[in-house]
Amino acid sequence: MGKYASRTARNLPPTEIVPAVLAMLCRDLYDIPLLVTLTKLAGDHPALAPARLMARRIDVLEPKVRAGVVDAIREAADLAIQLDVGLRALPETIERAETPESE
Amino acid sequence: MTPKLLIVDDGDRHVELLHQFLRGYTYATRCDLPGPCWTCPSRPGCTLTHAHDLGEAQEALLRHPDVEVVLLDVVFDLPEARLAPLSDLTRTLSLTARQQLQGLDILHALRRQDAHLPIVLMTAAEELEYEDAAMSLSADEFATLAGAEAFDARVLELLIERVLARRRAHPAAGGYAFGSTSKMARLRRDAETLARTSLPMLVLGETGTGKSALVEQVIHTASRRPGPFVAVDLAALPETLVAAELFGTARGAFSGAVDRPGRFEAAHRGTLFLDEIGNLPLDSQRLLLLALEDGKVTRLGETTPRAVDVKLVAATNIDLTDAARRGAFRADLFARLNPAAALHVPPLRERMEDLPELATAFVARAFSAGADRALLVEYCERAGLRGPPSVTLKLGRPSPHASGVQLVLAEATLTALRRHAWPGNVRELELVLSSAAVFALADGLAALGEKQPQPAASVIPIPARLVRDLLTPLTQAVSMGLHFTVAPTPTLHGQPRSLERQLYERLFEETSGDFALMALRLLGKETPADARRVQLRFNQLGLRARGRPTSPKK
Repeated sequence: MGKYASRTARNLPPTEIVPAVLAMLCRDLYDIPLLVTLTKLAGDHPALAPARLMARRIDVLEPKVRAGVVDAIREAADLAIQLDVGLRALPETIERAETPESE
Repeated sequence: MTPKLLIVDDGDRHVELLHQFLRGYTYATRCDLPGPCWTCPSRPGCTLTHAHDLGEAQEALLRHPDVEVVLLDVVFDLPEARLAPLSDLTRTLSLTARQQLQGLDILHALRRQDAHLPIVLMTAAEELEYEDAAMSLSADEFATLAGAEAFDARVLELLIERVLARRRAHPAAGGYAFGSTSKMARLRRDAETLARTSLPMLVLGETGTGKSALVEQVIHTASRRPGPFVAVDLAALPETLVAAELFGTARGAFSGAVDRPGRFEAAHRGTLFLDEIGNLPLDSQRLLLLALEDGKVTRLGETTPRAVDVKLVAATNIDLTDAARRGAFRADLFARLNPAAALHVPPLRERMEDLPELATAFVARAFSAGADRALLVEYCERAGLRGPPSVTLKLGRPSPHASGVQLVLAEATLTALRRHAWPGNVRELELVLSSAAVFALADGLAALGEKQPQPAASVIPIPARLVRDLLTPLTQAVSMGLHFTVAPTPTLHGQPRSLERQLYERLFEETSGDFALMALRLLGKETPADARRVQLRFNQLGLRARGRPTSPKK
């Protein structure tokens, strides 16, 4: 899920974002509702709290992203990349949380 | 030169990303419209931008034989009827699992057609649920996985350049076969060093030593110039047309002249290779000197010069020092070509230590693609050999642990090859060995016939008689005074094939299509079996007897 959400975000050019690229970004972020999908896949697992926060923020940015507001686009793209990184690291995060601290 | 990519993906996601973020390449599409897809007015909703399954990929490769890299998705959500044939990897898997690994079955099918086509799989090893799948890919030196991260255009571009460089340098895939001698190592080092300068270069060597291949495969590639490689065979051009061909024409320059750029302009920002520079007429030598000095060319019939940025490489097999002394070649132009730094490509007889390595590379190259690869695939299937179709040349004796087909050249035959004078140099060597290998495999296939596969079916000896017979006709061709036209071909593999095609075409005409008579000329015998072998090779070369005048059957 993170891979598809971040696909265009990872490749955004540092200069102007042309309409075709913006359309691709919107498809990646908003064709499938991220927060709803996360909840459906993983329920309320506490380890997913950071990911749910990021997904909720991406959803909130949708109107500005679609309107082409550059700051909103960059923020949503960064969040998508962080979401992907966080989801990939999830097994390790859960394992660390569940391993009792050594004395 | 801009590499061409083919995308194979059941969806559009990769296509859009690649078209947007990797615009430094051209893309093989399934339509006839020119220009890139991202500027095409028919783009919205177009399904011809890439291939969606194996069938469309094969169609696209036929339409675009210049595809250099395939970008291949792994998961294909396709109905069973559209899936590629099962491979060893997927034979026991469910339909869903096959769809998850469809990219690998497509890769397997494409490998049967071309052993060295670079393929980048759009996934990471850890994303492949089947460890066997990832392991099997490590055996394919021209396939690579896209890496651990999600789609990253910069990483993908590096991977594409890596597989491209590997293929271009690999002798069995068409890369220049340097061999291992110190003089060839020095030649390689000097060629790559001089390639990176803007100075003109001169390449000297006998006919058939691989001068053209050195210029295209090594010098142009090492120069990293963004423009194209343009080659001109000055021996093939009528003297009266040389200037027009090189410098272009303007309407009205002479009767029938139109506005047309010359080869200099066509090679702008790239490499212009002038082969057989000794054949350049004196008046064109003056124009060439001006172009080198000013960096500008003027089309015939015009007065306004045009700036061109060209890396000029010239080649010849004649003594230009002597030609300059006689006044047949301008001394000032000769000096401009930097003769002190000329690259000397040695004749094969001066580097016989390389013969085993060259022979091995040429045999592998012979079966890398085309009709001969299809022959290899058929042999492997009929012989029951598992794994990707492959062939290696073994010198002396076969290896007990090698996979694929082993073609064995006896020591005595190798000795005979070493004793041959090789007037046609490396080109002749490749022609002899590739023909011997193909004939031996064809004979092996015929011998398999209806028999059950034998354990030793993977080992095929190359008969000494066959090599001896092949060495003779080329000597005869030289003594017959046949003139071969050398024209650029897309791959090095095309050069000996071009030479062989011309030989067979000339003999077909001379004998009025009598294959028995051709066999007598080529093999010294005219039995029905020999005539059939000649006809088989005639067909393998893509030549057709139908429609040509033939002699009545005896």
